[in-house]
Amino acid sequence: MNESRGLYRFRENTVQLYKRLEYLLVPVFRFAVSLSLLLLLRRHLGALGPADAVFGSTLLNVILALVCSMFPPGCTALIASLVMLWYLYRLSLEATAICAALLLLCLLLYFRFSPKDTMILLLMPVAYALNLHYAVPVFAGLLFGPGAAAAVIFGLLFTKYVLLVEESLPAIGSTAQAALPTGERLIANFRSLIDGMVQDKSMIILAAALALTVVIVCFFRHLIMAHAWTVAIAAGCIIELLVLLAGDMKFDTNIDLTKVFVGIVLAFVLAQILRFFVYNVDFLRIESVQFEDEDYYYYVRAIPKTMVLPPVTNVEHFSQPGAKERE
Amino acid sequence: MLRRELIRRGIRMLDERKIRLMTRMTVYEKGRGIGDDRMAKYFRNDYVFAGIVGSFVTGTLAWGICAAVYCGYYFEQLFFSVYEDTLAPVLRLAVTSYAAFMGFFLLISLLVYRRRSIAYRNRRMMYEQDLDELMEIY
Repeated sequence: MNESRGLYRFRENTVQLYKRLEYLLVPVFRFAVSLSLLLLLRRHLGALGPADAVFGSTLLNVILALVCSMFPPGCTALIASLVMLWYLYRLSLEATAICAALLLLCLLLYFRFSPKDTMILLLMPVAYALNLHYAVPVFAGLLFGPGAAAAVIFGLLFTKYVLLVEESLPAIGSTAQAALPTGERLIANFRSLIDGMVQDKSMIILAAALALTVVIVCFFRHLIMAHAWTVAIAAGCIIELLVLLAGDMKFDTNIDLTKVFVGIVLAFVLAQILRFFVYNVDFLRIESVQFEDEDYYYYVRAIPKTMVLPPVTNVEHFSQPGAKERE
Repeated sequence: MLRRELIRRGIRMLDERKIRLMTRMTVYEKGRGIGDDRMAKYFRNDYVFAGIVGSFVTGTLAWGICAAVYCGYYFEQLFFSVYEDTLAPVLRLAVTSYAAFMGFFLLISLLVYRRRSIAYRNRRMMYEQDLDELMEIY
């Protein structure tokens, strides 16, 4: 009991601290995400071609990340897209064309609805690098609506595309390809990249699993029942695992099961931490009331938030008898 | 000294109810209210219709991009189809895919804009309730 009270007190203190330092913590978080994105792009694409004097410099990446931290996430998405296009342009024209098409599709189909969940799109590549991408759809389902599935899918698409370009660049620039005339070479490279995307069954299964997770988590979170968030997190993780396993069995995608299990367990733990901080209610004290007016019957269920009173500190003053008189 | 005495007698210099209302209204006006002002220019159905028209344009552009990628991928086959005058299956595929894609995209747009419009009305109603309550205080 004392331990849980200590936890709740820790939560209250953390929330208070966050409220006090929000003006500082939000830009720092944006800076961290932007810098991670730019450095990931440099690692996967910048290192492939000739040394890049522009974005090869860490200082410039830090400055760009600082700029991103001062603006909404849409600005980070724009800067990261331009940097990605720049890297790809230095490597291959076909890869740039496909990336530009993907970016335009993202702009027309996703940003058309001026979404509030752009951060999910930006977090996806960073989370993928840390094997935490299984947690992103659970977070998206808990904090946003089912529309966040689009952000998750586009985030995964861009991540996988960068990895695909990194993998297939030696094949694109091979001597067999170089022997072909320019037009044919362009079309052959274009086809090989499109094939790489379309025939990547593991990516399609992963995208389906992540999108379904967002929808399932969102659905369970909105159900009128006790422990809705915990059920939503558990259901999301189970669905994610089941879809990945079923896809692996059906299409023989050879996914790394250990990584998947570890990733999903991490997703569950992180989502529980998020739930603890964002949605912490006391289900033991649910109150159900029923009343009516002229037009309606009302069935109200009130769930109190878990609150811990701050510790009462008794300060005892010890003073020597007669001290007052001396003063 | 005077303030302490007033509080002791139960007289408060600051009207907390008024502060609460005005804070809530200011938060709305400076936040979501800015976007809502744009929506306020439309009747509800007009807003949804304008959204769908915009989605029609962006959806058509998006389909055009997909079609361009398809044409790049099947460049040789398409070239021979034009040469041999056997474009009918390709055109059928284009029309079917366009209809299916636009149908789906416009349905999603309709749901999104309807939901937004309902959410806007609810927010506006709450704001106006607060405004009425504030007017009663004065």
